[in-house]
Amino acid sequence: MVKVTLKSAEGDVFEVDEELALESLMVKNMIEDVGLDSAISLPNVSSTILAKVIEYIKFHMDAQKDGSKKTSEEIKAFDDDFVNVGIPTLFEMVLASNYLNVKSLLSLTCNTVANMIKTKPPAEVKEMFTSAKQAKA
Amino acid sequence: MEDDELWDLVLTDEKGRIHMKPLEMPAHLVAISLTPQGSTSILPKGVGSKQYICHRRIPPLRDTIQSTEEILELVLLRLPFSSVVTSRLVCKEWKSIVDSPSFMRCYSDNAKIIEEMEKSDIPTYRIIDSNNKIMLWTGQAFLSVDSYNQGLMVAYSLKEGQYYVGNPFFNKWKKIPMLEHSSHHRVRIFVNQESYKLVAWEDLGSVLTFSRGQTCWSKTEGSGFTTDPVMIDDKIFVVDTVKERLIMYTEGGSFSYRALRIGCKYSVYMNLDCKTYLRAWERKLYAVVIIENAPYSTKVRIWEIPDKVKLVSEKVFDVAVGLALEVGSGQYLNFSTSDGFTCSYDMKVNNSWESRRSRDVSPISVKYYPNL
Repeated sequence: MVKVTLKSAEGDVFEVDEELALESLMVKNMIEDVGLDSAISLPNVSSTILAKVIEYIKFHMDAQKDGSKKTSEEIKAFDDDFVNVGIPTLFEMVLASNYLNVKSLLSLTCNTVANMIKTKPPAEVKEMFTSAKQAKA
Repeated sequence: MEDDELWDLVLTDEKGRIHMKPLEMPAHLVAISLTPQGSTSILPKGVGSKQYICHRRIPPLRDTIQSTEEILELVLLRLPFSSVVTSRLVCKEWKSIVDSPSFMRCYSDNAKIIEEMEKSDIPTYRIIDSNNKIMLWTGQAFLSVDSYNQGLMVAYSLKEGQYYVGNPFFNKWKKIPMLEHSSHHRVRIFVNQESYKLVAWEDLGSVLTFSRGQTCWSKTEGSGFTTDPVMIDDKIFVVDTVKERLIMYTEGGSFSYRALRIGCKYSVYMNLDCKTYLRAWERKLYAVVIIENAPYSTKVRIWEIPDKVKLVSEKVFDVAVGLALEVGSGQYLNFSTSDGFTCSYDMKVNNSWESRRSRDVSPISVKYYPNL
């Protein structure tokens, strides 16, 4: 299988199957433009986040394959667990999935944050985001 | 259902109030989809309540994101309307995100607007967003809705004889300059990006237009019986059924005519009842002519009016007395009679008539206009 090399902001190299890399429309366009010879540089995505994105795409690709025994409950459980991270990480994932153009992940992460806001009064929302900011700093 | 207390919230501004509290949807309500060209004036009589169903779009992808504000915008675009309104109260930064032009352009939500006639003839409105949160519209109960399009509404105050354009979600209303003999007019609103245009017309009188920012209505020559207006790309079209012509109104009150041979001529001497409707679909105009040869048959003709007039479909029904085209725009044309006969026509497929079935017309979306 053809491999694609992705390079994170820190310069870490991730080698992934072409099929997986094409799930990112941004990477897909890059491959069409410059080919597979050189590593594709992703200066906006950190190694931690890129690893998460690859994990997400891999899981969903496997789940969609014929013969996959994953139930929709299992997929949902994976997604719930996947976004069970702090607001700063969620924001980084929103940023990365928008940049990489992975629509399903963008929806998942945005909706997760939206759901956190949706049920709370303004004061609680404010507190939640202030503490997230402080935790980051 | 979330904790009720969280939503026991009243937002106040200088013009009115919005109450937000959860409420069960009354089961007796009759649902009617209302589309951009829709109006409440043609709805069946005796219906105690009306419901407007709106439709939500998926927010678009951003080219590049530079700041936290832009990430937040992507998130806030996915909120139901009631939460967007509360988001403005979180902090100044959030308020400015929600009030930014790019947010306003992209935001829309699924919502229902329910008009109910209770006790008196004064309607009350309930606005329910996609999260089933109800915003009860109480401030201006004397208003009756004339036309609704993408979050903006034209309402008429019987008490003042005055039209208002407003955002029912914020209960913000703006007075529209007076129309002469306004009670005889029908008024439609057409929304185009951040602007709107009103069209008022009478059965036998002139057509008046009013665009956002103008100080008075522009009057153009009246031409007898016309159909309801339809707007495509800022141009307003009506069919004059007396002189059989298409009239196009453009910016600044200018207009042009074109002869239209579609057999819609209204004549009191002929023993034919003829009804004409104008519809837009995929930026093309269609004229629907229903000719009733009572009590023998009813003929329906659908004409496409792009550059050349072309007959798209013709259908003859054996009886169908009083057949009328229902309110709505979109892929399907729904026809019905008062005694329960219905049929629909699919604009995408040639000659695709289906009897005894009416199909969904395309829904409209609720947009965010905080500053009218």
